[in-house]
Amino acid sequence: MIRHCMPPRPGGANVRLLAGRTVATMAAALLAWPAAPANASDDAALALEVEHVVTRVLAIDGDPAYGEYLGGECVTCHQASGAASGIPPIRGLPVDYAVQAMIEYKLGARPNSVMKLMTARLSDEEIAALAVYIAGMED
Amino acid sequence: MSTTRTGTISRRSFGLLAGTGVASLALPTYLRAQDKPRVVIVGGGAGGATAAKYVAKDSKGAIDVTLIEDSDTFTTCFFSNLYLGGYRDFNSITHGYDALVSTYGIRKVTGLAMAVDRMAKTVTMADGAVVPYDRLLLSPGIDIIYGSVPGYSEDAAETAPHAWKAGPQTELLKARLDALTDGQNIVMIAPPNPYRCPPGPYERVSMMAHVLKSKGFTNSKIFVIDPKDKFSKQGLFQEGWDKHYPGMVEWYGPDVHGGIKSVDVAAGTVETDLDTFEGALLNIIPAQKAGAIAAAAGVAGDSGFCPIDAASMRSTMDEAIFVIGDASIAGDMPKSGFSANSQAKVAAMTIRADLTGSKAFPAKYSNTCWSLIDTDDGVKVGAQYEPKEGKIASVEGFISQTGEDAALRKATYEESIGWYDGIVADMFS
Repeated sequence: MIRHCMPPRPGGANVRLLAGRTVATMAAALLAWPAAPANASDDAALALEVEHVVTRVLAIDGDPAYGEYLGGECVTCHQASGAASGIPPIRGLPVDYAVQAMIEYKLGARPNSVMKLMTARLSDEEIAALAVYIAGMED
Repeated sequence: MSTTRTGTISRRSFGLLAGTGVASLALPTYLRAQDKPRVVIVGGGAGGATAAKYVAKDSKGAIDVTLIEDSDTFTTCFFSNLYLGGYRDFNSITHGYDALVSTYGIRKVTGLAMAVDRMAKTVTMADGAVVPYDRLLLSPGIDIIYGSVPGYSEDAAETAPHAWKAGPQTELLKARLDALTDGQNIVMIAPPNPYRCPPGPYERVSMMAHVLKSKGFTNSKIFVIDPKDKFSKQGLFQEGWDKHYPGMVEWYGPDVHGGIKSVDVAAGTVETDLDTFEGALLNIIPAQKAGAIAAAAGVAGDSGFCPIDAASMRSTMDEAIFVIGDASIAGDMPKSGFSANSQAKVAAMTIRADLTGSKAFPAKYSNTCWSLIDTDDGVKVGAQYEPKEGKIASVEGFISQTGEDAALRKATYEESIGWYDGIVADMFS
């Protein structure tokens, strides 16, 4: 299930599109973002890079214990209960959605400065571990 | 090992146990009997409450956790400026410990921890009760060094509040602020580094200015006498003051005021080399040091704050003691609730590894500080930190920019509300 829980952006709700992982939909979605590079070929290059990293990370079996430790950083703002006020909930997001979102923040395809900071130094293994933790928060 | 009904062991019975044989002494305390290893946490704020919850939650009942805190409730320093500004009521920044007790089985001891016997590994309470530990985590926050401002004292704070510990002081400052009439001035003395919440004094100036402006005051001023020549988010605050409160806020660095000579709270004056500033309200924020229990335990250094191992938050002076939050010397990390919460998770993980052999991962820390300048005008600064060459070093960061549009500033403020709800849920539920 795809949750419409990311901050609304001018340009339309692209959440469902972004959860798809084809280059074409990614590029189309990125074009709608004001914070994305203005140049269409840059957009396409960024979309390709996101797609490439997402594929790489999804091939990794995330370590749930490591994810739970790293996830301590998430739940300072994103409430573990799933309650939300001003910051979107992450509890129970599907693995592929969480991976995609973290990589988009890390590579600059999503604009929030706190999330860009939090993802800037995450390795592939750490993103995979976090996604497993986030998906399992509903258990 | 015998325990009393409250779980404490008297000094005498500890001595008797210790005398039962050399072999038993060679074992960690928690292996000498069926008792669980004991973690005692002093201070129930952003550091201590988080640490208590994470040790209890993640050890799944394998560790006995005691939280010592003098108060039944905790009023957060963060967002207390928004209470001053009229954006929050006092109840909304005050929280209880019920869920920590009922959900996680944490034992809450309400009282003042006075002393630590590091040989016996016990904490002694003001009422004489003795609480034994295998690992002790100190998160006592700050104590005010009243004498750092000549003429200021604990008594004087009843007239000229510091309000740098949230609670009655904050309510006093709010009452005094709300009682001002147009033409009456405020004089703030800002604190020297290092102190709790680097942007805090300047967010407070903004919130006090917001109150004055909201009442239509045009003749009152806020004078800020600062011992520092620059301050956190300075460009952002000064831009905001010019935009929202033109002519109201005057900030004086040491190169202009020449030094703070004395305050007279009865007369409402602050004397500097440059001039004597007069205010119907004085807000004096002195220098600070680690909460008293840190010095009583002998884990504070010459600076008044506590040196720690950057990879674990363990005291460099005692391997059974951890110090987190404002009381610690945390390298590049600011003294903030977010920092304390982040440090608590590293310390909790290390304590569990010490006591139960659970896995410890490499330490990572983070912080973000949001500040409100006026309605819907929020700014933020954040960084990530890692242990590097023996200290906690900033490895990545960002700060809001001057000239940002109103929509982004409003989103930043809304994000701060989400963060507040998030961190208090992380601490208390």
